[in-house]
Amino acid sequence: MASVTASSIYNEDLMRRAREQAHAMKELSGYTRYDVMRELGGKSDFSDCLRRCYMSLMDFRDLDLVSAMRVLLQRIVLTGEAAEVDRVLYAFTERYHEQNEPDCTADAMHVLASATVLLNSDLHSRNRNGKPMTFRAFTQNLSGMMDGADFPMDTLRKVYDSIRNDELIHQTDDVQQAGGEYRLLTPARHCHNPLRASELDPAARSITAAPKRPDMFLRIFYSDEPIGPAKLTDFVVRKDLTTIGGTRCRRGQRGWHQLYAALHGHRLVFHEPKYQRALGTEINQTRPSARTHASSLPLDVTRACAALDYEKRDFVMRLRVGSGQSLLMQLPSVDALKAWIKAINRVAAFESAPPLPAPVTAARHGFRTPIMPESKTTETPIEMRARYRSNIARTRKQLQTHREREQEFKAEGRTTLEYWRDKLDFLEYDLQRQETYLRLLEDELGAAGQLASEAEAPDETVTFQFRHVSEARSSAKSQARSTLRLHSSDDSDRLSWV
Amino acid sequence: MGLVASNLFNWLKGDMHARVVMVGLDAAGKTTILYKLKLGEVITTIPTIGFNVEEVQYKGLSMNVWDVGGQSKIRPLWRHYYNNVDAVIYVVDSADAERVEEAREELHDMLKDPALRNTCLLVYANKQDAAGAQATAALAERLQLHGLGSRQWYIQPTCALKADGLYEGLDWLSRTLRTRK
Repeated sequence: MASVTASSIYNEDLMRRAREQAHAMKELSGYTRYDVMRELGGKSDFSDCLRRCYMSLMDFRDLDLVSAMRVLLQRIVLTGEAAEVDRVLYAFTERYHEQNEPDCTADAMHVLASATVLLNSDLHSRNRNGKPMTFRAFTQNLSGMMDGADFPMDTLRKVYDSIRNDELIHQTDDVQQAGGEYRLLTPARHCHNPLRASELDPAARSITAAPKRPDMFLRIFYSDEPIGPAKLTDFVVRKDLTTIGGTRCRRGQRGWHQLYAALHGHRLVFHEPKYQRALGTEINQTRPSARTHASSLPLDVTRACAALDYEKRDFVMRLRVGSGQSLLMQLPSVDALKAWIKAINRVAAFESAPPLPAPVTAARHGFRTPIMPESKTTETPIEMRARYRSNIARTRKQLQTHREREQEFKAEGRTTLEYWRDKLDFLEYDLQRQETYLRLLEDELGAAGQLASEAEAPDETVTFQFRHVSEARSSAKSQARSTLRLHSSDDSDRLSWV
Repeated sequence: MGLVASNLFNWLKGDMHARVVMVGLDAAGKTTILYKLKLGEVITTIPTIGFNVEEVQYKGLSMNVWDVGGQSKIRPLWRHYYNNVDAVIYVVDSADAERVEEAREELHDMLKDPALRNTCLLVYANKQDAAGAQATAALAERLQLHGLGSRQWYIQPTCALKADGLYEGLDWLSRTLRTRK
């Protein structure tokens, strides 16, 4: 009957294709049990048609519901998204109902089948902690679900006992393949983790302990991209200013630490100095420093500049990371400072993905900065340049209107003024950051000749000048600030990085 | 007295057990989120038949997360898992403008359940990297979250495939649940 209704809805061609594929899937020729599930779980008209055709090939006559399910599970691996599982179960119960004509509707049968599968997950899932579902809870959950009435107690008892004593399992002759496919569902992150290489053994089937608190150290090893050799290394002295979220570091965390910094791809990793010799190119052999609270910084959405306003030490670089962290890093020489600033900004300019919007919540909170993604962007440099350009124009406008509204916020009290200040701070930083990125991008694109065709290109290329740091430092703080404003031919408002 | 002592012990240990259900329309990204949250854990190679359930540990918060879904007529079956639930994670596909309406209806329908009266709500505005993704403020508007009364809610932009934003959302959840207990 199902196939008759199906053919009246769908055209002949679709039906024919579905029927052919259903036959092949039933025989498992060219399809694994996972493939069958994937094909049947789809949402399209064709998948719907395929489900009906596939089920019409199955024989569930004179079986009780759980036994019929076990027959089905000989041929498919019933797992995946809840909606997919549900769709397959629905087609299954339609067929079961058609062949056995029990006292209830197909819908009620579907409810019972879903409850059965749910019970199976509840009692037998290896990932679940907590109390297993009791028979009482099982019946209570199903009360009134058989077309408004209750299911007969003895039916439910049989289902419950059958599932409890004998887990629903699928046929396992293609375990290897199933295992391989299933691993795709699990994060790809651990694949690059040399410390856990042993776990990648296809035969490994045990549950391994998960890291309970993902921290920055683990994030390097769990990142998707392999870690390359270091581009830049130096002995540095590091001082943390703010932690993630922009909160000021506590007293004990603000000291200077001598570390060995290495720039790997778009990550900045800090090591204890004594490991430096062992490093070479093999970062994975040593542990990053545990003394500082973030031994690895992702450099997306980061801006580095010379800390001219910091007068206690020479050659200090200020680094502000997208997550709100900021720190000072003292380098051995002016040349090193220049090289690091350029390298970090370059990595950030070319690899930062667009930020996600700020979270929204019911309660009134202070200003929330947008979430900065840690993953690499997929855009081309030209697309990035377009994005930065439009963003810079927008941020400038925002900044201007925001500055004008100072009195308005002041009138409303201290918390709103704090909000105003935080937002101002963020907007200013964001503008500077994007302008830096744009300049670097255009410099490189210009050098590669990719911007040659555009008329305004010559105006846009700004020759950046590096002021000798100690010279700038010797001047007063206010003066130092004014030197930050460097000159580009067309735009006097543009802030430059020194 | 025993309860007080055990609560005190848990508080000292800093661990907290929370029951969380994760809900959302199909293809919103629930499964991806569930497995990204496991952070590199190798899970048994043969999955259990049926629906996805995972135990997720984060910052002393241990959560049993169920991937809840399917047609409306089997939805009452999830009531069993709504009892004693502390939080609901609702996943929305921010780029699917056509189904936001459907997502809103489903969300408000579910939150009417008396068992979920005192839960807090974390919305993952997923697929933020996709073309045409809506910003969180617009999505909060369209999901009518401002009409939820005294319920604590938080809408977090995420990009589940790259695991961006997932932990920031859990941070909020863990903070909120701690201050409530």
